[in-house]
Amino acid sequence: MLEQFPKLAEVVSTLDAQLKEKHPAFFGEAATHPVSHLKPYKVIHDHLWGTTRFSWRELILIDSPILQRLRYIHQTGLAYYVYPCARHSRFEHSLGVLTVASRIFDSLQQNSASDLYALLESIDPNTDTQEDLAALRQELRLAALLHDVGHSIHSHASERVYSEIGLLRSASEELTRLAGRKKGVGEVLSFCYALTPSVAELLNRAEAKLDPTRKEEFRGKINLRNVALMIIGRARHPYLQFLGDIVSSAFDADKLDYLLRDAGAAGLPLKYDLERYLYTVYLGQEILTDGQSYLEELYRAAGTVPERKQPIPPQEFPYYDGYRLRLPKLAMSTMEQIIICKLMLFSYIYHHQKVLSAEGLLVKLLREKVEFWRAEGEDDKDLLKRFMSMTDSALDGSDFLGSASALIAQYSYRIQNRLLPRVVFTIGNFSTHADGDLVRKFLESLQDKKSKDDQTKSRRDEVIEAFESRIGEEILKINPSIAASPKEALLVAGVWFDVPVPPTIDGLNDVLGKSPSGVTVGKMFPIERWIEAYQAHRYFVRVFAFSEHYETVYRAARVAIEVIIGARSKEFFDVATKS
Amino acid sequence: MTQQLTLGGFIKQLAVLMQDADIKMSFKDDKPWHMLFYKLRGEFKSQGNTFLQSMQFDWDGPYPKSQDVSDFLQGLHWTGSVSALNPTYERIIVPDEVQKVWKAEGESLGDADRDLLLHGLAIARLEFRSSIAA
Repeated sequence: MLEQFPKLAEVVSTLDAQLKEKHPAFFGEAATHPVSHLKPYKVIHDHLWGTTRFSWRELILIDSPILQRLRYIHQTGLAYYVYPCARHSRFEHSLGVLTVASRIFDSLQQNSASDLYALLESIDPNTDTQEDLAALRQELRLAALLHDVGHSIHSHASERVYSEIGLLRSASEELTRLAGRKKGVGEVLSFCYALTPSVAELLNRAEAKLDPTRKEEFRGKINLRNVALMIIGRARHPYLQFLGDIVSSAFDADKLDYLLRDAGAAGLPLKYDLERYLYTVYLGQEILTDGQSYLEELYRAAGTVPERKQPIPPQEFPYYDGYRLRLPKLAMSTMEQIIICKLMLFSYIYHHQKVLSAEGLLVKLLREKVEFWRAEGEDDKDLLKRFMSMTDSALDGSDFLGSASALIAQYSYRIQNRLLPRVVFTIGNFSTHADGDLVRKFLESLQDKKSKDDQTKSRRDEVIEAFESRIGEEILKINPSIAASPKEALLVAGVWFDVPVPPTIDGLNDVLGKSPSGVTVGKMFPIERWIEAYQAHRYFVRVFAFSEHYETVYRAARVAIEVIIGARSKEFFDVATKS
Repeated sequence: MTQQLTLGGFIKQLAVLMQDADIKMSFKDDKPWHMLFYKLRGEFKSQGNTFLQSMQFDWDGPYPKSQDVSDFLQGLHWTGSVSALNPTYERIIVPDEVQKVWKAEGESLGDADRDLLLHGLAIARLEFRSSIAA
């Protein structure tokens, strides 16, 4: 499938080589796992979803280092420094997503049974629909289980750093082309893990260890290529697009699990009505346009040749008929609950200033470490292997806390002991004061994040760099002995300008489908107002610094604000320092 | 041909031109925005070094969508640079004071950027023709 995508193929082979080298008992040429006979299934209890049955294919992956590593990666990064109980891991989240994805599939089978059987027969008139459904269900569950296996130390914080590795950036561009949809580096890694020979070989060995007298659970053929496609929100045929939607879309199983899991672990009383979601979810017949032939190439690579229809005006692009995961007007209250949950989680947890402080410090630390490794001659593949073997406990080890670099050791010590930077300035959408227009213009420039190409910085990155550089220069003017350069001064004083990514609800209008009267349900749903209310009043950019350098950084950043934003009023600085 | 405009800069300057030309800018229905950029990219992809070369479109539904365009429009909205008209949020307008600032920013644009903007405006006349109910 990856003949036209050399960078993705390179990532697959790198991950495969690492698995074989690091875990020979599981993935090597003389692998011994699974050692004993396998039960066809087991049950695992989860505090959110109760008792779930896992098949032998799922169990062999759960019991392998690919999934076990996730036990040691916190789902919400360093949020436990604010919410002490938020210590849940990517591991239980992955099991939870499998459970929810499976329940959505079962609900679709119940709610849209006729459509489901008809579309399977349309794909292949000679098919055994029962066998097909069982295979699809198993592939979907594996995709859900594997969707996060590409995470590294403290989840999304490290993703920001390894996303800068050239090989992964190029692979992400290839995956965007393959999927016909923008894809990030996190999805690249999970997609590539699913395609490693190591995973296929482990599953084959497991099959050979099954007790032949036990007939429970599906034993028919599955295709890991289909699993990989579902991880990136696609499927091998447009009629099966709803499977990709279950794993990766606006209201996917991932979101349905993490909203309740993160809120519950943090102790926040946020809820939504999953039963109503499941009661109402259906298969919506819609078109998938394909103006750039990406989907045509995708389906060909996946081994299917669905009918690609030519446009009939007013339609402008060739298209495929497809089936999508859809919700009716009846589910609107559930959608509202889910969106409120998401916005509140951003406000309470992900964008909490102390969480941003801890994660920003970790990002600076990891960037320093990457520079250190590069200086020692490591290339992109080496760095990829580094990140894919790290868990949260790496901070305690010789690469970080015990590093020969004083700065890396110091930053690691600070994170481990919650000696976190404090907020020096908070800048938000303060539209009422005298400098409101200047602030608006500044915040506006931070939204312009599209760069022309790999070699050019975006407007947003230029502004951030200029702002930080100015602070560094001013620190040196105030205290010339602190460091030899502005960049070093920023590192010593623990300074950065933090610009969080605001929450978005992509594809809302699409997911809600159409009401019986033909009106798009999204038109009746004031979601834009909610998002605006959130972003206008709860979204801030901030300057952080170590407490012991607060006074110096305050003076330096004040000059940077006056020069770059142009804000000078007392009212502005009163509000910006209030927090 | 060298263009200086970023995607965001282009949207801002185009919004000014559209408002001056009395073209109603839809907000909730974002199809005209995406179609405009898809068509503009088709025309200019091989010309000059612009943000258009690296634009990517999602093929997930009835028309191509650029996440970068969606994000920037949303950003303009919540920073208060554009106003969405209540109660339906169907249309956005650029307030007078913002329009004045954006116009001033556009005064230094070169010929290549102006050419690109005029092409954008021509496409906008067609794409935004019927997106908002009267």
